[in-house]
Amino acid sequence: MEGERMCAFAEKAINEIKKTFENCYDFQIRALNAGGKGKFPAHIFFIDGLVSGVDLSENVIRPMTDWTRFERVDDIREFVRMITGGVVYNHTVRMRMNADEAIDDLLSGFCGVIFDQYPAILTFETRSADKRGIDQPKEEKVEKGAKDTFIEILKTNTMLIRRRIKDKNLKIEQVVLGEKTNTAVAMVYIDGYTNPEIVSKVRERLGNIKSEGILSTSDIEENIADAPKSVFPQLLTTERPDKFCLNIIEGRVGIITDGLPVGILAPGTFSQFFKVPEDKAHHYVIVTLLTMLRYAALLMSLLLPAFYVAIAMYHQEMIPTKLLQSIIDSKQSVPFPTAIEVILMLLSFELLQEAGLRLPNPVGETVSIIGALIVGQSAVEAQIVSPVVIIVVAFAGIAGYTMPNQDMSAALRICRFILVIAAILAGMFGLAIVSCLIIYHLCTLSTFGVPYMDPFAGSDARNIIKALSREPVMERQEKDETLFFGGDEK
Amino acid sequence: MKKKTELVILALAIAATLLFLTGGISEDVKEVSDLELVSVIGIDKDGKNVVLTTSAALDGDLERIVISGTEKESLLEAISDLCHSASVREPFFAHVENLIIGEDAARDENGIAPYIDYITRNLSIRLDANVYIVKGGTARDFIAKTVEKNVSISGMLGYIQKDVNMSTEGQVYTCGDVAVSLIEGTPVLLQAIEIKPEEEMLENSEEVISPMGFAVVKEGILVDFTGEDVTKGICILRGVAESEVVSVYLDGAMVSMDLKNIKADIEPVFSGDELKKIKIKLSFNGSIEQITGKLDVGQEEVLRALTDEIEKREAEKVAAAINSAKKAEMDYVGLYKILKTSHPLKFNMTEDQWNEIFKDVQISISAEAKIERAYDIINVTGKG
Repeated sequence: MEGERMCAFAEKAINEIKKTFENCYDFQIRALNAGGKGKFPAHIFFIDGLVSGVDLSENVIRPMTDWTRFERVDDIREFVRMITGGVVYNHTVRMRMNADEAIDDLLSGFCGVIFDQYPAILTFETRSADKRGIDQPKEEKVEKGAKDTFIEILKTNTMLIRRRIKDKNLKIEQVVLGEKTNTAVAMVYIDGYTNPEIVSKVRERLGNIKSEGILSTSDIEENIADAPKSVFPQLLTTERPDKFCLNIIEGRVGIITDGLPVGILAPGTFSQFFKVPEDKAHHYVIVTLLTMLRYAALLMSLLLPAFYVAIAMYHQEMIPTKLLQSIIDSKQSVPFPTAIEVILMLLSFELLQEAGLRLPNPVGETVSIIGALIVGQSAVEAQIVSPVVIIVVAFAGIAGYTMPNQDMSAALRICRFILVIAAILAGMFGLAIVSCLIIYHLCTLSTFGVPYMDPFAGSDARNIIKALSREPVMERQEKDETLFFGGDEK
Repeated sequence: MKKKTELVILALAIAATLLFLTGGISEDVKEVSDLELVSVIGIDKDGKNVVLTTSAALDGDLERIVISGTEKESLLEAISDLCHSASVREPFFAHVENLIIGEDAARDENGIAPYIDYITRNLSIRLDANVYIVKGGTARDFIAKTVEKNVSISGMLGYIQKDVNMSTEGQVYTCGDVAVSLIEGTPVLLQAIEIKPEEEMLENSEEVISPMGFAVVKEGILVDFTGEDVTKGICILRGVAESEVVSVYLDGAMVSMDLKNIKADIEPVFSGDELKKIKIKLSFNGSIEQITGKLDVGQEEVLRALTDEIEKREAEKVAAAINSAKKAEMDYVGLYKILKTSHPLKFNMTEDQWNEIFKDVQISISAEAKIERAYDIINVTGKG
């Protein structure tokens, strides 16, 4: 009642919360005349911006201060029971017994109410609805396929998944990660379908993340990958809910992070980085040919510059005579040796790519065009580089762009440089040795218990063909058998 | 983790060792722009010295030729001398397409054997380089002539290679083929070429050379050249005759035919284990391509006469080839190899035994031709 002294719990909680948010201009606390007519004095607090002002006013403050509802209520316990029972129209209300829990809620878009005479804190979800709409995918564009994409709001993303997978066994477990950011991270899988070994490994590794903040996908990826130092990606990332769901159906575990419009999928095996969701939308023959083309592009992107260096510096006898003659002619006035020429061109290519990425879209495209066409042509005309080297590097670069996954593409770029250096040092022999080491590295990688090179290493021919092709719809089995290595399969 | 690191270190150590053992890291790095692609090697003899002439394409224009030459006691010395001469670019022999040997060098006491020996031992020169003998001339003259006429040697020889196959005027053999024959001790046939006399060359014509049948090489030394009919006979027997154009005169008209699908079925006839005779049965199609004059080729007797004539001609060419080989007392037509391959069990004599009996063995030749396109395009009768 009005005039009574605040209870010790309330006083302590208010002081703790105020202290916690000291010097935070967006933290708001104000007195509240709960129950009306000064019946149950209280304090309401929230983080401005995280909460919706309308929801707070209409769904919390207004019903709580409407004296007509509580005319006959004189007991604070009865008052709290009514509030938690539905008088305050809010879908989520929590009773917190200490200030720390209430603070966590506060940071997640809740508002808190402390009654002067009640030893608990009530928190109501009044999360701000300020978010961008579900947009079209920017990185993973498809012609025939869904046009929605994940956004930064976890609940919207889980909604997009639920809309696609209407299975009662679809589980979305939540963990809060990041000591400072307290980011909600959801783990998505189908109970009784997804390999439980993979599920428990993902759960365990997510639980073991000791990080100050989860602000990018790598904060999770590098913490849960089997070999985080390897340049090869071991987790799939996608901004497309359809691709995410497809992988969940195949038996992978998905991870969605609040604040990131990207879904992570575990485990990511080598062959998975060569598939796009649109594959399912096209005729299986076309998709099979395209998949093989992607693998051919992988080899071309990886080996072409190094192969050129090796044969141009060491094994000229391997080049057909007329082609060799053309190469000799084109290089006559070039001042740089082949090694420097190729390295310079590769670096220039990376430079152009980086510039194109960092600049706003229209400017980036212009830079790429200027770089590729004008600078390239001028360089040839000025006889700084030979046209053959430009063709080789450009071909390798274009082949690299056919990779559906940018992480894999980046890994290939690094390997391309290593292979070129090996070819410069030891020709075809160096190329062979480094290629063997890369294959060895790939074959020793495993991701969440699944060999990274599965099905290309240690699997039967049927699975290899499956990885290189797409079966007709009537023969297709969504489940990826390589993921069910030991657990209970259903 | 430790084990993995150890494995990687081990792999790197093995790689590094192999790198040195295989010469991976060597001073053999060649900048492609410093190379001069030698496409033709010409070999002649001047007394005891080997006269080496090379030809290389320059600036991508295969019609422009650079020639260099040197004289040394051996081909190795000559090539080495050429490599160390003060040249802007380093001669590169891995793309040699043609080896041209002058007649004198081929007739020399050592013949072509030392040059083929050098090429087979040399790791950079390809064994599939074609070998030619310049009849009545030297390789240097030939190369000089191409420079004078500003034509590409490789292009011209490539044309000759296709042409002789199509017209049954010879067969181009490679260094590898020659090396095998030399090792086996069998006679070697090489495509002979001749520099066309100036008066025979048409104005602005690039045809500097013409094929001149086969050069017959015995024990590495050039012994003879084959004439036109003998060359054709050899090609038929060896199964490399693709087509042949013949003209037959009949009743005042001339019928030109393209003979195709020329095959020789060579069958040994045994009496017990003894080889009695060899039956050669030729079969081919004669396609009438042109009729000059009035002749009703639809008539059966005309067709018969034409058939008999071309059968007789082809049989005569094969007989000429066999007789020429018998006269030279060496089976350069290749009967031994053909029989050995087609009848490995019954025909089990050694090459020496075969050489003993070859000159006396009875060989019968028959031919069967089928004339095609025997219709009259002016007075259509429905026959033919």
